[in-house]
Amino acid sequence: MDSVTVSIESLQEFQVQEVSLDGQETYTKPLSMSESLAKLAHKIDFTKPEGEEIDGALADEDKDTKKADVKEESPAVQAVQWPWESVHSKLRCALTEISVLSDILHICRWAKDPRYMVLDPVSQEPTQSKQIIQLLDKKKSLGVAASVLKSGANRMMRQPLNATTASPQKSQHQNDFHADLLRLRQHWRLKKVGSNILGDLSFRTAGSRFWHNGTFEVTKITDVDCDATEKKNVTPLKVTIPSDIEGTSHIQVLIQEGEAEIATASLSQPSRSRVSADAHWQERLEAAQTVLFCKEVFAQIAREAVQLRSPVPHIVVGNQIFCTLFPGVRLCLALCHNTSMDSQVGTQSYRTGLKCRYHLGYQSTSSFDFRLGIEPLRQPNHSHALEHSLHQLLRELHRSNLSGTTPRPITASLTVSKKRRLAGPQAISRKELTDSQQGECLLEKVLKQAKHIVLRKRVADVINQLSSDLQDPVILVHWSAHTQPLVSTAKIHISTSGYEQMAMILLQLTVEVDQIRVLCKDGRVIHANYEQQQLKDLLRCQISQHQIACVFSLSKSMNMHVLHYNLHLGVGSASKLGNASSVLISTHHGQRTLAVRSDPLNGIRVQVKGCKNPHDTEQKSNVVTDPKWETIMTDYREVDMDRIPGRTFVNKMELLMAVLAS
Amino acid sequence: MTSSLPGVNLSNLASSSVPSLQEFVLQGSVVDSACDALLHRLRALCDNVDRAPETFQDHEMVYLLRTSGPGNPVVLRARHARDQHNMPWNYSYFCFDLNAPSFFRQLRYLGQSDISDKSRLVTVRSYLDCSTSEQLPQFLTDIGFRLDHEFVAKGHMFRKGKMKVTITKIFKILTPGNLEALEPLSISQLVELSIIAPSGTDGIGEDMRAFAEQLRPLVSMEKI
Repeated sequence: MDSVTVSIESLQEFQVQEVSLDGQETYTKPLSMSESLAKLAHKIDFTKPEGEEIDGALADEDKDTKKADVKEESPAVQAVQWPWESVHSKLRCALTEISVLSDILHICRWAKDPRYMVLDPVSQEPTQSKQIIQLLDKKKSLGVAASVLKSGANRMMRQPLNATTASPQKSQHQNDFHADLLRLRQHWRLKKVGSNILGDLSFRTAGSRFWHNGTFEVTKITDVDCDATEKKNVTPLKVTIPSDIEGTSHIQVLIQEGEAEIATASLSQPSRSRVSADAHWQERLEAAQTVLFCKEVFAQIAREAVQLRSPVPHIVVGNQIFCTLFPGVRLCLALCHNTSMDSQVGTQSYRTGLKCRYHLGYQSTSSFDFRLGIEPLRQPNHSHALEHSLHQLLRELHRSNLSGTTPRPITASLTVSKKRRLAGPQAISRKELTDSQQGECLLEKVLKQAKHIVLRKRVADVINQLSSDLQDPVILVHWSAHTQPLVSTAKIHISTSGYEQMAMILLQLTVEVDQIRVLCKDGRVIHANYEQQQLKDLLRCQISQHQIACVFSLSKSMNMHVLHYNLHLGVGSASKLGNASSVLISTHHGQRTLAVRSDPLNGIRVQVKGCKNPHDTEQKSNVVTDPKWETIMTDYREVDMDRIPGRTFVNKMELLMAVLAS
Repeated sequence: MTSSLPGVNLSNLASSSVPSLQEFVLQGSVVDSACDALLHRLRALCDNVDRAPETFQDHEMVYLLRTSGPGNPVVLRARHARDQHNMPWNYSYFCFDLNAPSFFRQLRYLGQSDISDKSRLVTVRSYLDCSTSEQLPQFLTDIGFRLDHEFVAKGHMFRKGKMKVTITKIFKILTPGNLEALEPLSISQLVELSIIAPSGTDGIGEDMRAFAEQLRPLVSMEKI
């Protein structure tokens, strides 16, 4: 098939202008380009706004043609001289209007002299909204809200009716979760982040600046098995605690004496309390908070232990810190964390630290016999006081972080202390200011308390041992009931039983952190340090002087003459400890003399002069018959105090004096 | 700490051992009737929830020294707390008047706010203060300062970390010298968030803005 050629040509349809008599049609010429442009431009009405031009083109065309006809008809005078005439005139009108506006604006706004024209805002009348419409609007929106609430309430009310039919546990489950959540919110701070409910275990709001944020998550247990719900204590609320603060923990403080090695200190002993994973969320959360607190305490102490400079440096090993209190006495602090969830004795537990066991091991003469470090089954005597004070100190630190003194006047700086603010006007010296600013850190405070505890125990031990060894002067000690963490006081009475009126030693002991202050009756103040021997020596000296003082006052009541009384004797062999004291007494008839010398270490020696030795046979002379001549040349003879009957030394002395005086 | 007097260049101070402090400020105001709601909200947001908010009553006197030559006059503020009773350190009386006001005054200099950084969220101005004895007004007058105006400020203070939030009602003193006849200046109270920190500390503006957002519908805090 051949392709068919199709030719396209425009219709030659032009408007017929006239038909001549001979049938010839005269067509109107088609408009040339410029003519058609003129025609279109003529159609643009510059007085109308643009939007109205777009719609209804046909209607506009009709209107335009009508207007064109009207314009052509009425002002016959205005002959269309050139096709652009109307456009030109319209533009000219527009230009006139614009220039008028511009002139007005110039005169109003930018003229130097505002006398001629001023722009003022026109107050608009407030639009009065019809109140009835507003009322109807509100009624409609409230109706919509009410319908939503009502449908929800109906659904909830219908639920108990469905209890017998579908998933009874589920609805109860639902109620339990929200009720539990309410109870949880009463104890802990919760917040909703996205779709999760998070809680806060940390002490941030109390002033802590620990790095751990302590957030726990609260979720709902979605799958409900029938077996689980039969138990009464199952709640659909599940609390997820971060693994590093789960379980229980406590700080153990151990004061060790002797040469125990570090290795033996880390005994595996179960922690005090245990919380299983099935416990109620309140228990678990409280335990976790304690764990966090203990962690913070330990971190603070460890940091200070590393930074502090002390004569014997502190050792920090893993979860243990060793500090030297006195030579031979060591304080061990440890963080014991038990994460095991089963009830067995810590087989799977993650055990770390030291215990706070207050444990003393005398090696030499002691009635207590501990074997250092081997106490597998014995529950250690934890020093609760020290642990409690650790907790309290950290809480104080938190409080000081949080609150300071109010700046007065209120615009003063918030962060400096009141003393620093008033340092200027009060003329405080630089030294005073620096001293007051350097506070003690946590570890130093704990060390002081521990030292005090050790010292107090030592003093008590010394006195108890001495009082059990020596029965002759009775040693009584009264410890003051009011004690402070760093100072304790005690009163010591030493007296001979039966002869309390004769002489008594009163000593006031003040046990401080590093030393013991002893106040004697005569006003002397003696400082003893942590060595136990010093206190023992002091007491021994006092006792020896006491015996002599007793004899002295006894002799006065026995009507004997005191020839010599000296508490610090300068004759005879020097005593190795303190001073020897002595008293020289003679009977009222002067025939016999009693010499007593007391040495703190060597005991008491009693010698008598004027007693005839019965074994000494001398020839009696007939010339010298007065018995007094027989006693002149006698020597001092020692008395064996053991063979003299009497309960105490003073008792014996009384008997002796009575015998001599007769 | 030295106070700034005319002739002392602040840039010299910056190089010395005295740290130059800056005050970061946001201000807003709240009408008296809405003040209670704001106090409740601040009490919950700030530290020390369990304690009642601190109240204060201060009397401030603003002194001006006109420098010869161009430039703004130097402004110094002398402020003392009217409700605090400090025993003077050289107290030698056996009975002292409990109604006697505090003996110590605070001298404060606030520089012009730093407008160099337009993107900064809070107003920053240099801040210098020191504590002085009670003869401060006399001293300032002797040097050449003239009392420009004085007012009494009463209100509450809250603290959150380093930030201080004060809600102040400013009173006009009707007769100079008589501090009992007071008249409130307006029906609203001034709310101010301020932190005083060494110059160059970053991040303070963001923290303050974040806190100011929480007070949003009650009071809107802006730069000065």
